[in-house]
Amino acid sequence: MKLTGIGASEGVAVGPAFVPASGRPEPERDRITEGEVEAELQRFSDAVETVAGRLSETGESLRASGSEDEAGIFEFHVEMAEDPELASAVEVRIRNLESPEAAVLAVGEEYAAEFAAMDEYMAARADDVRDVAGQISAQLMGRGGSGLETLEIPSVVLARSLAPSDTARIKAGMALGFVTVEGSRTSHVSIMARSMGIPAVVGVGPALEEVMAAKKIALDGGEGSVFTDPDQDTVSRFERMSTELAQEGAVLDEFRHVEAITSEGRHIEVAANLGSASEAEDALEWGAEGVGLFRTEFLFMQRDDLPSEDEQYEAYSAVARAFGEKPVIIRTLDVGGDKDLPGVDQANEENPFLGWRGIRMSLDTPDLFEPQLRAILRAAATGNIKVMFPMVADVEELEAAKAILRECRRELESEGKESGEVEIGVMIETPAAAICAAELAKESAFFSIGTNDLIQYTLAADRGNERLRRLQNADHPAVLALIRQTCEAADAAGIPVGVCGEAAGEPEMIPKLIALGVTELSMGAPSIPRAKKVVSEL
Amino acid sequence: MAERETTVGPEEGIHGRPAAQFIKAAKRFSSQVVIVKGDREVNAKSVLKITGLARKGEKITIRAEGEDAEQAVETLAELISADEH
Repeated sequence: MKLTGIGASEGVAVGPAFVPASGRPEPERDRITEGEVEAELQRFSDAVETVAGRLSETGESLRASGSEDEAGIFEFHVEMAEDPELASAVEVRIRNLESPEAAVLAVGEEYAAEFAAMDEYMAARADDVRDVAGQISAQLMGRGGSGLETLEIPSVVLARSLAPSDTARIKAGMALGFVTVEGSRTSHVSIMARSMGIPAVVGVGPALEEVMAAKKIALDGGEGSVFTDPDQDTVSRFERMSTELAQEGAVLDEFRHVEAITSEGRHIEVAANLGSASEAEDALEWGAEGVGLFRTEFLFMQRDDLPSEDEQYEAYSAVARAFGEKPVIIRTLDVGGDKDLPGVDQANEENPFLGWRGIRMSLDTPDLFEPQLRAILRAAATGNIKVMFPMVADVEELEAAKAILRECRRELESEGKESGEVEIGVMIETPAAAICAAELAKESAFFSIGTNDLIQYTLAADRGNERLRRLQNADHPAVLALIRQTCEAADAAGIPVGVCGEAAGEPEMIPKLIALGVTELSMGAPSIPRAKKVVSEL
Repeated sequence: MAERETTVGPEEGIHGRPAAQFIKAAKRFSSQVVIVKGDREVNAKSVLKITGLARKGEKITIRAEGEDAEQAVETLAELISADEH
């Protein structure tokens, strides 16, 4: 039978179905003896420590990969595992000769019942506390609650939904794919699947629950299709596709370190988008010819104070040194009311994406902007650094930012500190910037089109809204018209244009972007080999 | 003993991420800290107890007893009244 859901993570897989046991683990023993009490108390606190450690490790790795919201859930789970009230309630029960694995489940259930009785939001927290109590209980019994931890045969995991703690418990190589009843492209399982490189189809709906007994599953995470107990033809087809994808990977590897040159002899620079300094080495291995977008937000998040100029200098110069002669474009801070910034008084905004963010906030906040610009200027002495400003809407903003940059350079000179030359560019991501491109071009050394935001603002379609997926499309005539206008203005002024949105890495968009006059493409590093291949075949 | 009345700031009340961050902050103080809401009084270092205790805009009292009580109520009252964490 064929089912359709949301293709949440690309790739195909075929293999045996595995349905994790839902609900709570069954305690092995209900009672203990008087003499076991002290040892069991110790076992309980060890189990808490192990589970909390595992949860916080997963949280850290999610945070490192930029999945802030998911990391926050783990933070909450860690606190629940280590909760002092949970511990003391369990201790009372153990002293009453209840086994710790039964006691923790019972206490978890008490809290879950309390939460479930509140409102809809709190009812969802009931699942969180059951999940955490279940993990501690499973740890005490030396086994997994759902069976996911002990999965020994590579399988396609079928479930109603999968929590981050579920996917994190699966041993490497044991999950061939994920198929879930619930979920969207932005749910936990989708993000985890993409970061693990495992195909996933989510949001299949109740039809999937009817086929949970299936023995074998084939799925295509690109198109969102799922076949339950597929016939031999389908199995062969999927096996073939899977082999082809693997072979394509091998072919693409050969494109990593070639220059992308079209048949007309145009060299297209293929660069990487970086979210932190630690990604630099990896990006070079994928074949990045530079950094088209170095996001600086990572330096400012999850802390109680603003990063110092020196700390920023270290991060920027580390990337500049790793790339040597190759250009590194640093984007100044782009956060808004949707993210918390230490030491900056952010009002609660109705529409943070249309709010006080990017260059708007930087120009109003010298304590934020000047140390960043000084760090960039100093780091420029260690490599080929360029700077670009986000969310620019008109020439006044660009001129104001340039004036502050000049002032910072003068200050550094008078302090006798070394600084390097930096080209100054503008990120074209507001329709206003694209429309004013001719004026902006006179004051810029380059443009970089941020297609994700340009699409969102041009089509008035929230990029996180699943229902508006049709409009999250760089191929829309309105978006293409703005890109064309930007390229024409740049061409007239003799400056280069790059693209650093997702469109830069999409094989079907690359020929169109190049035809419009784009000369640099910057993308998530794993997309670089394919982009180079596409360019080479033009 | 120190105590302070404050208003819950986060949109969805005390839960999830804000709750976890509040707990982390509370654990940094050696004082015994409780949150009082109406006739309920709960351990402010227990995420299970404080979760769902109050909604945005509701008044709660933070009370602490111990060496760093003053500092604890001040820090925690400010934290819980902020809009975001």
